[in-house]
Amino acid sequence: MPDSTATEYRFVGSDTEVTHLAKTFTSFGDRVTLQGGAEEAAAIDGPFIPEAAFAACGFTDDELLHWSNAADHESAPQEFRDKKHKALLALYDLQHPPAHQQTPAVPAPTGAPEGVVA
Amino acid sequence: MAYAIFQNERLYAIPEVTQGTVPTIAATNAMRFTTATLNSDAAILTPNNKTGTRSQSRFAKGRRKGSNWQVVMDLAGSGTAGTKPDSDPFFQAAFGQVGTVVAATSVTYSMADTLIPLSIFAYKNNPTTLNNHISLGSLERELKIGFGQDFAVLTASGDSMWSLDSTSFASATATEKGGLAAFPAEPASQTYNGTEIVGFTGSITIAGSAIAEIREGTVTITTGNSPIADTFGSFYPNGMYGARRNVTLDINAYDSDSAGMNALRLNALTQTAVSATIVFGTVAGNILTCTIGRLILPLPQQAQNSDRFTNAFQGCRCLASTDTAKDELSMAWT
Repeated sequence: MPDSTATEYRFVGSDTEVTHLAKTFTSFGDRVTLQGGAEEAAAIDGPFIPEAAFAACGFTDDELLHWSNAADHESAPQEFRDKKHKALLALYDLQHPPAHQQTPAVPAPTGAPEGVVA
Repeated sequence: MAYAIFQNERLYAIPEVTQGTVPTIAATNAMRFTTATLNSDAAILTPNNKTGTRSQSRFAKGRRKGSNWQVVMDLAGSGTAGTKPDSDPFFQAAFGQVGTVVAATSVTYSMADTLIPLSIFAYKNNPTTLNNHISLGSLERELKIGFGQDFAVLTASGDSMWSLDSTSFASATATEKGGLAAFPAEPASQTYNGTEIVGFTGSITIAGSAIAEIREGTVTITTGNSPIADTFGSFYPNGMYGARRNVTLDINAYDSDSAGMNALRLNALTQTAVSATIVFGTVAGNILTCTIGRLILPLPQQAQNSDRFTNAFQGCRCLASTDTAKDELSMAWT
């Protein structure tokens, strides 16, 4: 279960703009501090995972330097892609918590429930 | 007075649980877009009776036709495999169901016969006193994805119950307000995800052969969805109707003697159903794969575009595999 008090997050997408941070994230592994912790992360609903979850994926500094651009990831070594898969699984867990743990910071207005195959 | 500036506009879209009831808007419903046209249609009815002159003096209010909408955007995924794109509501509305998520891997949209109405919000933000719109009870009549140009382009369009505007909210009827007590303020922040797909990147495989000669094309889902707008006793559309859907592929290719192009022409001549896979994009998290189980090609239109010979296969039909299947087209984001 993710640490709800964590404020250090890492970017695991390709290109995301968060207007209230006035920042566009384009480098995989970019650090960001979310003072509001998990609640702010939920409100942003972007591809950010807590630092601890990111560290658990085992990326090396060299890998993050070399594969910072998601446009190159299709040609990255399998080892890196496996680590990225772990990071995306962590994101999935963050965005799809078990029902009893859900505390949405923003209203969830979408219509039908999402069809999910984990 | 302030003139509305074209670039100072933001778009949001949300599936509705009940057609015509506007859901709560959130920052995460925002998406990048090119244009949004949310029209309302308040027809003026002209009585038939003669008045003794050729001049017209009589009219009646008519709003039965509802309104129409169109949204155009450069196609982009979420940037993260297994996370739905910002444009998800338009895919949901075209396919009739939510995408199936495989964690960290894909989001796949498959056809269903359900109708999903949308609320589409367009806010002009400079200044905020400008007229903003909500197209409510919006059904998607058509989803088009064009490729071959600088960027792949998504165009969604359809009809709606009404296009509510902020400046006349107080005068709007209950139906026009869509259950709102006040015109909702725009969320204070937005999250935009994904990388626009360069329109000439990807691959096209038809009948097992990669076709390198294709220059441009369009995948079109004509959903058959429309509001019911002709029932007695209502000025507004008050229901949803789904007619037969039609999925087509248009492609324009260079004329050549490659095995792939020869096979395309032969399959068109013999009207043989073939499989097709179109992959848009190369950036992880922003790759859209269209899978067509049975494609029926029309005979190509031979043409000379400037100084080049081309073969245009217009209106290739995408068919389901059986009477009970709905597999004429699926789209997967990876």
